[in-house]
Amino acid sequence: MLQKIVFLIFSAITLGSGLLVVTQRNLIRAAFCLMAALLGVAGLFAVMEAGFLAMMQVFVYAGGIAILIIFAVMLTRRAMDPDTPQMNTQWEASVGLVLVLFILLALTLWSDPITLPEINVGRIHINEITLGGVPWPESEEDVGADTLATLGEALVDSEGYVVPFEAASVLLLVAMVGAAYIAFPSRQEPQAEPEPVGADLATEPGGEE
Amino acid sequence: MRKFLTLIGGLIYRLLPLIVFGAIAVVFLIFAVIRLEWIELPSVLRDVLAAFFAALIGALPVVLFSWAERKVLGRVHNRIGPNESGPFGIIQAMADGIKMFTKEDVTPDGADRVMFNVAPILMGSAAFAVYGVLPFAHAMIGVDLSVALLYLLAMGSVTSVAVLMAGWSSNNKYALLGAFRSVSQLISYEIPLALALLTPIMLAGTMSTVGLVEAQEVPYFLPLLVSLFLFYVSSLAETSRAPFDILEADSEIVAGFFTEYSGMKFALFFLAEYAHMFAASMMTVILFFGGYRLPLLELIVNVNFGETFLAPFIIISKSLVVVFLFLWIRSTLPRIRLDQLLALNWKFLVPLSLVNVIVVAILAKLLEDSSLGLRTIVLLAANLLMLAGAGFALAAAGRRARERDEISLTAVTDAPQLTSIH
Repeated sequence: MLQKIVFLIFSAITLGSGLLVVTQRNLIRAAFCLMAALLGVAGLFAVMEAGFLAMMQVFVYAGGIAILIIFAVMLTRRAMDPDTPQMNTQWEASVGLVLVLFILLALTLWSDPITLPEINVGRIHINEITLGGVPWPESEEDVGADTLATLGEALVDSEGYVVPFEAASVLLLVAMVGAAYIAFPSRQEPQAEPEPVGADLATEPGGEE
Repeated sequence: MRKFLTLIGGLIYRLLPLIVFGAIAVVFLIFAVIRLEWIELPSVLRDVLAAFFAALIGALPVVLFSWAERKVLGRVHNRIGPNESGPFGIIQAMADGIKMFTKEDVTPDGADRVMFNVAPILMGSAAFAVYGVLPFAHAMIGVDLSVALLYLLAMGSVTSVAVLMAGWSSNNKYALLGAFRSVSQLISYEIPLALALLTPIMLAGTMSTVGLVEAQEVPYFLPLLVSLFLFYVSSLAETSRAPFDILEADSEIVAGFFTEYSGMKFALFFLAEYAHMFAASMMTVILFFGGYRLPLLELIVNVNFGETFLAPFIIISKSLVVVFLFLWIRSTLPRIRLDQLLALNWKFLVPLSLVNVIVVAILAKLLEDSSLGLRTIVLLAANLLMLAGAGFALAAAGRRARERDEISLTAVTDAPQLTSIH
């Protein structure tokens, strides 16, 4: 019972913040609402007894990626432009696509198998399709104990996920080296004249009501 | 009538320290009562209340440290600290609180109201939330998370976001710049902090704080000297204490990201900083000095101090010694510049922490089955070697920097044309 209440609270936080992210006109506030949505997802992980994932979500997403996004948004020029239209001009098509995606996901992840019957219309013959039927764990006893140790062992097990793990590490290394190479000031260029102070400050801080 | 009121006022004035410390003791006692189950409560209510009172304990150090800092700094500077308000100036912290309470609550023109008000709340919440996983005895803990150390790191990350929020919503260029610099310092020093936390986890096999204290047959500052150094320096930087307080120094950037805050909101930032400092010192004690136990004494006497009444006193006194070390360092060392600070992190602390993790991992695995004494001595020797290596590297870097300065000096004086000044 308490689990349901806590789940409802965290879902409300996540969905509410998500809605605020896309409807806020002020881009900075939208970025902070994104952080709130990520914290809500961390809460959902905690409700599902995945403590490690919840902490990693806060540490990596809310504490790393959200900060990056906020930095990027703060340094753009049009953070608080009130004249740009709020919605994309093609929002009807995107709503349609989102609905289709939602229906697909819902049908795939439904716990009870949904069987679509055979269709025999003239020469069209569609076989019977079964969707869903995912064996979600129903209670605490269905989840294996000590998931953190299992995760750790799977990441370094040679028959487990060690190759994707190492490949992801190499990818991150390549990204870091590339970023450092791009950002490194080349030594051959003569010293550029310093720009007047404040010319680079792209936007005024603060918010508009 | 007036004489009576004066008498009452004088009595309250004299008893105020007692009242304050009594309040602290009462909160602690309630926490103990809930956690040690001296009264029966349904388990959900017990857990929620225990976590609440544990977080409330986080609000109490400010009362002590605001005064202690001034006193310790004063004595180190060969002067008496505050001694006017109350005996030994103990009520000074309360006087500060009353002053901040009564100051005008200013919201700057054009500031984002919602974010401006939420930022100190978020920062305070992150600082108090850490107290939920700090144990005062074997069973006196807010909540015994199995990933408590990750929780600690996560709360540090939330602090960085609160700083950005505060800096941006102040509608002040200096506050924004201060916030950017503060966030760069905070996120840079999370790396040696996390890497230094890996080593006690490797030795203890658990991330839970209670588990770490219970696993310390020998306090971990002996086999993990370099980790202690790394963790302590990173904690100094994470809590923005001197010598890493370039961002709060009045002479530098007024007050950094909380320039525009006054009154109770400033008090909340202040509170959050001291709470974070006490939490960091408690974590140092838990990780490296045996927490609420006396490990070295327990090798001789066969008593587990964690389950006796002495446990809270043990951990609090050890934490107070570490807090004194924080204050001592603040009063002695000059602050270092932001670029020196970041260079220290990326060029010294991060490589050292990586080497530390590799060495401790290899040695801990090799010596898995040998006795405790052998493990401790070998790891201690390895740590001393690493420290010596780090010392030599620093000396070489210093020599190179001096030579480079000499070369550029001679170049300027010899050559007639202008060279670029760096």
